[in-house]
Amino acid sequence: MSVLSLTGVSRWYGTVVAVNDVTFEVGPGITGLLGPNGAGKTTLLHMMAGFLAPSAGEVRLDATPTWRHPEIYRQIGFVPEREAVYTFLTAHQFVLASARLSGVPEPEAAADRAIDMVELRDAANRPIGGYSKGMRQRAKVAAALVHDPPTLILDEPFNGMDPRQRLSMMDLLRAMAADGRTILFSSHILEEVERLSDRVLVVVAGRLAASGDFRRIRRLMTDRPHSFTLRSSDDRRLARELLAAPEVESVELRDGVLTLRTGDYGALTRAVAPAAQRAGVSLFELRPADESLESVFSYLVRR
Amino acid sequence: MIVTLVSLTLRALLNRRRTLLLGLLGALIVVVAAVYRLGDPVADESFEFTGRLLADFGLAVLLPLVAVIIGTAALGSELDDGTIVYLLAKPVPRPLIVVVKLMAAWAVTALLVAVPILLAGVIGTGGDPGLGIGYCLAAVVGALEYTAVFLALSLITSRALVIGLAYVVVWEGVVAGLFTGTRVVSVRQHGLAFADALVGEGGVAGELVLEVAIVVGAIVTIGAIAMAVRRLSGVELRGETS
Amino acid sequence: MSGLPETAGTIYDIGYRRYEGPRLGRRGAVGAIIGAGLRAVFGLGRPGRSKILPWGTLVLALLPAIVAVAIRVLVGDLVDLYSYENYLWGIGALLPIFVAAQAPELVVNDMRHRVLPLYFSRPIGRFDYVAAKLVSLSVALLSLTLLPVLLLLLGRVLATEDLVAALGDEIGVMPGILGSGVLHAVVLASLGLAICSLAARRAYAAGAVLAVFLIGGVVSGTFQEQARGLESVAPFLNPLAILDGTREWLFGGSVAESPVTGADVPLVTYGLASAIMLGVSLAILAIRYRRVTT
Repeated sequence: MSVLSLTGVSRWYGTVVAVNDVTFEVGPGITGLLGPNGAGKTTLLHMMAGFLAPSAGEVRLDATPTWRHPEIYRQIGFVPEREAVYTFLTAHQFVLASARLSGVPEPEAAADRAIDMVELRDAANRPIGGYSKGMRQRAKVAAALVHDPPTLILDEPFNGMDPRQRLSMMDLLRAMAADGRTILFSSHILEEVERLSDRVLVVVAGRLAASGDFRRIRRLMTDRPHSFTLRSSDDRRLARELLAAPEVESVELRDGVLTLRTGDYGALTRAVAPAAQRAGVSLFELRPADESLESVFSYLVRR
Repeated sequence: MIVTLVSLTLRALLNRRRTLLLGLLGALIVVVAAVYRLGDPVADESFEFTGRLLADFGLAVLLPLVAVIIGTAALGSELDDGTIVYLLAKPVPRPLIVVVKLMAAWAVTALLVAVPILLAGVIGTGGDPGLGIGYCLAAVVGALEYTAVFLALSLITSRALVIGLAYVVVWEGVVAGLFTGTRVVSVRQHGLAFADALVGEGGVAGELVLEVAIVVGAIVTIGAIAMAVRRLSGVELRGETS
Repeated sequence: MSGLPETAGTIYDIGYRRYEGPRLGRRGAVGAIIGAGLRAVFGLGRPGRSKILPWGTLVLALLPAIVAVAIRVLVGDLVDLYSYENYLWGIGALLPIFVAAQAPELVVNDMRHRVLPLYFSRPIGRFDYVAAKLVSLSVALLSLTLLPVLLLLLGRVLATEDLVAALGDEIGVMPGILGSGVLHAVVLASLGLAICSLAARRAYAAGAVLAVFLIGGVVSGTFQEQARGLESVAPFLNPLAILDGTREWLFGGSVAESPVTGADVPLVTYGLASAIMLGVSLAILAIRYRRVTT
């Protein structure tokens, strides 16, 4: 079990504050670090990987601070965002060198395994300089997990990958998380984070805006009405009935779709079925319309 | 681990363009000696000429130029393009990284400089290896001090190459020429003192006593290594964008 | 209701407009590059740090002349004014430093940041670009090769009683001064730009220029005091010596310290060597700028 913990961590460059008093813990499973560009994601990840010193606060892997403790790299694999790679090495040489430098007992076998895991076997003997962006990403991931680390930190890992590569990388990460590893990745693309992570950390302008399961976060956003879409046998009659209920803030019937807005999520779910019964309408479908990470995110960003 | 580090460094240092260029520089001194030989000179004259050639061109120009290019690139090129992260994200002790890279850089510099100097010395004097060996060994020793200093410099500033060149041209060329006191801290003078001791009568006289050169040179080299280790342990990588 | 005037309502089109005015075309573009190049060489429009080297070198080049002229004019015949060719040779070391410091600014950045396609998708040709850069650097170098010497001439004239007669005497030297100034400026600019165009970074470019002149100078120096034919080779290893020889061939007047004096070579060979240097530099530039994407 590896736990990355940040306590009151801030980082500033002169008068520019990149990370502002952030506290959280990252445990086993997949955690997504989400935020707009410039929010401080890379700064946070670099501090967690021991490449930046926090200006205030502590960053620890289990009990060890990450800064100036190279021994933590036995437990951490890091995939940087920056595109630079050793262009003159082949993927095989690169991953093998990583294995050797990490002190892996059987470097050749480990390198082969890592290359197979990222499906780079065919191109493994060409220089990385000639790779496409997605292939380079995969080579970097292979080098990061060749020493079988319990913690994996990836900065924008899906950059430049086509949909198929992205899916297989997601499968790989899910498999590793199922083994009990701690995986932390950053992205500014909502769908990636939504699809892959168990937990989400939303970073906006250097501050931690929200953390946890994004559906639960949504329910916590009470100052913003939830919306639902309904399908029934008679939408108009149902709409009239629902408008009478005090939980319902607004009702909209447009293009054959009935949309409800409510401030009280729970009360509304209890009120819909009786309202349908009173109106004599059959209810086919009740669906939350804005319980997506996108709506959570745009709400948090605009705050 | 060490083997991998060495192999990585050598591969990065000896890319085609750089090796060709530095090889040509080395070949130049041999060509000059050969051209001189073609004129069929007298023994005494050829000694004096070769001594001046090896000192003024070999130790004063060839050695520092090669050392500055190789020394600043050993760590500098990885710092510059960001691939240093792959090296630092491993549980390799930072002092080991510095020392191994320094050894690799020293070996490359020494090879690229000492061999041409030796050849030029032998050719210039018409077969007498005394001068050549003396200056060759001085170059090897000087290479260590130069590469250590430039390696440390590459960790201090991103403009290490320019500053290194400025040091060689301005400090060692002009300032040390004008102010005798500064000669103690001139790497060139350390090398010359060494050569002087090895070669004896025939060589160009350096300005320093050998003991002083050894002590100051050792202090500078060790100081540079220590500084480099300190800087590498605390190097911060920001990443391109946030 | 009558009596109320009907105000017409209009929606104004304030969207994107094309430019329909006059366009300066090729000449304007080349002029702009030359102007921008001159500003870059002298560090105008940039922080103070980039002004130190060019202006510093210029001041250093002018200083001895200023001092000598000032003494001559104010105090009298205390100091002998330098001869023009000796002065040019004396400040010879400053010219490569200027080129090494500023030529990279002109050429390397455009290539490194892959901005060249932006230039060439405008109405200028490959060689217009190169020619414009050459003109900028040459004109800048002229300030070093001409100004101090002209200042000496002025000093000579001012120091005499009869200004007009002195002017008449010195006028004869003017073509020589102008010619050698232009010669040095153009050849050194071409050489410098050619070397810099081959480098990947400004630091490497500066280093390469310095290395060429440094090594040339040192090797030429080692050959200079020897006899038996090596003395004749010595000048051809040093670009500045070649230029000095060409100057002597075209305009006369020899410099004692220059390797040209010791060498027993017909002066026309220096002219040839200069032409070769110029030709090779231009060829390198032509080849380098044929492919734009690198």
